Amino acid sequence: MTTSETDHATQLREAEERLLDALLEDATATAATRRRTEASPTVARLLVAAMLLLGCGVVLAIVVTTRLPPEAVGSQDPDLPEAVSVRGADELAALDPATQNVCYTALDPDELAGLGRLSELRAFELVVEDGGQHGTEVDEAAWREAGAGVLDPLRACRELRSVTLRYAPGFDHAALCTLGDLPQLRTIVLSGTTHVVDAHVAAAWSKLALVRVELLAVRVTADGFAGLCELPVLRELELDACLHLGRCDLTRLGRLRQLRELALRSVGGRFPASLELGSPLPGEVAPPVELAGPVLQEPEVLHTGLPSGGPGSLLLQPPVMRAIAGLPELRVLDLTSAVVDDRAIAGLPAGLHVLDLRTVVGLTPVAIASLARLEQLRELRVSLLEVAAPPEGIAVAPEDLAEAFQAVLPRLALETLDIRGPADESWARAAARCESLRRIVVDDAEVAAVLSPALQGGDVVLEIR
Amino acid sequence: MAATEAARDVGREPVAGFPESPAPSARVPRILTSVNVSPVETGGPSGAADRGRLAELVERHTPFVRRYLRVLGAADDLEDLQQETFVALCSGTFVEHGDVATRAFLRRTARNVFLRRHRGRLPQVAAADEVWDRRCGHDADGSRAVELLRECLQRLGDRARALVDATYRDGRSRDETARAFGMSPDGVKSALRRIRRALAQCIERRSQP
Repeated sequence: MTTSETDHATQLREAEERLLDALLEDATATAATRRRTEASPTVARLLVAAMLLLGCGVVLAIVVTTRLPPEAVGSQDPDLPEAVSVRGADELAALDPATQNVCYTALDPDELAGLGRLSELRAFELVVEDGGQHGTEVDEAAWREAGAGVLDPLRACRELRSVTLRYAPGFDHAALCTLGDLPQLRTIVLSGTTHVVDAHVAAAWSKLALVRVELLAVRVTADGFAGLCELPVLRELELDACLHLGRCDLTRLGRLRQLRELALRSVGGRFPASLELGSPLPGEVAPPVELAGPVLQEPEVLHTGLPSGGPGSLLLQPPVMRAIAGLPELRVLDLTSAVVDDRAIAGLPAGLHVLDLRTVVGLTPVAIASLARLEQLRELRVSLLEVAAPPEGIAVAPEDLAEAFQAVLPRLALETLDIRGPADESWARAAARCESLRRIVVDDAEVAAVLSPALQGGDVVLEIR
Repeated sequence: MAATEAARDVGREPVAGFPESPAPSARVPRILTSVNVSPVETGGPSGAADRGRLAELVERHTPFVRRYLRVLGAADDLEDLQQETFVALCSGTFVEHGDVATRAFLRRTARNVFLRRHRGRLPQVAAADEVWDRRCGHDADGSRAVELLRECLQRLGDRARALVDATYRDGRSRDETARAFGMSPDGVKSALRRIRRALAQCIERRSQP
C-alpha cells in the first residue's frame, strides 16, 4: 500500500468515526430536544393522518424540533484584532487603511466620510462626542441635518460584519436603515434612547443574515419588534432595558427558531419604565417634566427594577414564557433585573444550559424550587443583593432566597455557580452537595476567603470575577 | 445586488481542487418560488410569508447541515460554519427546487465554507464525502442512519446505554463519566470504543438490503 493510500485509509477511518459521533449525538438526543425532521415509517403514517386532522402547519411545528448544540457559542469573530480607538477626523485620516476594527469618536457627521477608505473594516463602533468630556458640545442639529445618509460612507466597507452605534443625540434613526445595505453585516448593537427600531428599520435589517442584535435602552415599536422576530437566522438577541416593550407582542419571540441566547434584562423593570416617560416613541409627546418626575434619582432603581403597576409591570406572562420555552435552540437565558413571578420561572425552557437570575424582581423560594426541572442546566448566576418588591406582594429576604437556592443545588447538574453578593460559608456547604459543580465565581477576595476553607480538598475551583 | 454577490462568495466560491462551478443559471433551474423573491433580489422588504418559508427551510435542514459539517471535521466552529452555510440560503442566491436540490445546495455550500476556514484539508473533505455517500447516501440527509442507530442503541445493555447517554447526550467529560460509573477514565475509553464498534457493526448489518 502506498503512502497516499495509507493516508486516504486513515482519512476514511477518521471520517467514519466523526460520522458515528454525529449520529450518536442525534440518536441520543432526548425527545424534547431531538433535532429531527424525519420519521420512521410508522410515525410518518401517523404524521400524515395528523396533518390531515390538524393542518400541516401545526404538525410541522411539532415535528420540526431541534436538538441540543454542544454549548452556546457566541457570534464574536475570534480572529478580529483589538479595536483601534480614534477620535476626530485627523486621527481617522491617519489610520492604516487596512485597519479591521475601529472605535471612532466622531465630533461632526461630515467626518464619517473618511471611513470610506477603510476597505478592510470588519467591525465599527461609533460614539458621538457626548459634550463636556473634551469641552465640546454635541451639535445635534448637524447630526439631524446629516439625516438618513449619515452612515452612507460605510457602504464602501464591504467586509463590515459588526456595527455598534452608541448614544447619539440628534442622530437620525432613519440612518439605521442604511445598515440594511451592508451585505456582510451579522451583528448590530444599538445603545441609547436616541435610537428607534421601528417597522422600517426592521424591514431594512431583514435583508441581512443577522446573527446577533443587541439593543440597550433603545426605543422599540410594536411593528419594529415584530420585524425583529422574523429575522430567520438570528442566534443571539439581547434586549436590555429596552423602552416601550410593554406595547410589543413578546410572544413573537417564539418565531426566532434559531435563537440560542436571549437576554431580557430589566424587562418589566422600573428602569426602562422611567426612561419611557422622557423618551416617547416618534410622534408622541413626552409628559411635562413635573409629571415625568426625576428619572433614575434613586440609585437602587438601576438594579432593582421596581415596577409600580402600569408600564413596567410583569411582562413575562405565561404566553410569553410558553413562546420562549418553545424555542428549540435556546440555551442561554439572561433575566437580569427582569420582573418575574412563579409561573414565569416554572415555565423556563427545559433545555437551558445557562440561566442568569441576578437581581430578578419577584423571585420566591417556590420559583427557585422549580428550577430543579432544568436537568440540562450547567451554569446558574444568582445574586444575594437586596431587591425591591414585585408588582404585587413583598420582596423575599435575600437570606430566604439564598436558602432556597442552596436547597435546589443538589438537584441540579451545575458545573458553574456564579454568586453576586456577600456569600457566606453556607454556600460552600451547599456546593459540596452538588456533585457536578466544578467552579464557583464570586465578587471579590473577601468572599473567596470566606468560602475557600470549606471548599478545600474538593474539586471545586473558586474564581474571583 | 451587492448582497447577492456576497452570498455567491459563500455559496459558490471556487475551491482549490474542485472544478469551477458553472454559472448559477446553468446549475440550478431558476424556478421562481416564494424563497426566490428574496429581499436582496427585489431590493425591498420581504413579506412575512417569504421569511417564514426561509425560517422553515433553515429549521428543516439544520440537522442535516450539522451532521454533514461534523463529518467534514467541524468541532468548536460548528455553530459558525452552520451559520455561514445558512447565510447563503437566506441571502438571495438560493432558488428552491425541492428537498434534494436544497440539500445539494447546502452540502456544496457547507463544504466550501469548511474549506475556506480550513485550507489544506481537501483530502479530509474528500474522505468525508466518500463516507457520507457510502453510509448515508449521496442525496440523503443522514436521518435513516440515525434511525438505524436508534434501533441499535435499544439493543445495548442498561449500563452501556447509560454510558453512551452520559457521553453523547449529556456531553459529560470522560473524567466525569468515570466518577459517575465508578470506573477509571481509561476504562470508560475502552468501554466506549467497544460500544462504538458494536454499534457500527449493527448499523452495517441493518443497512444491508
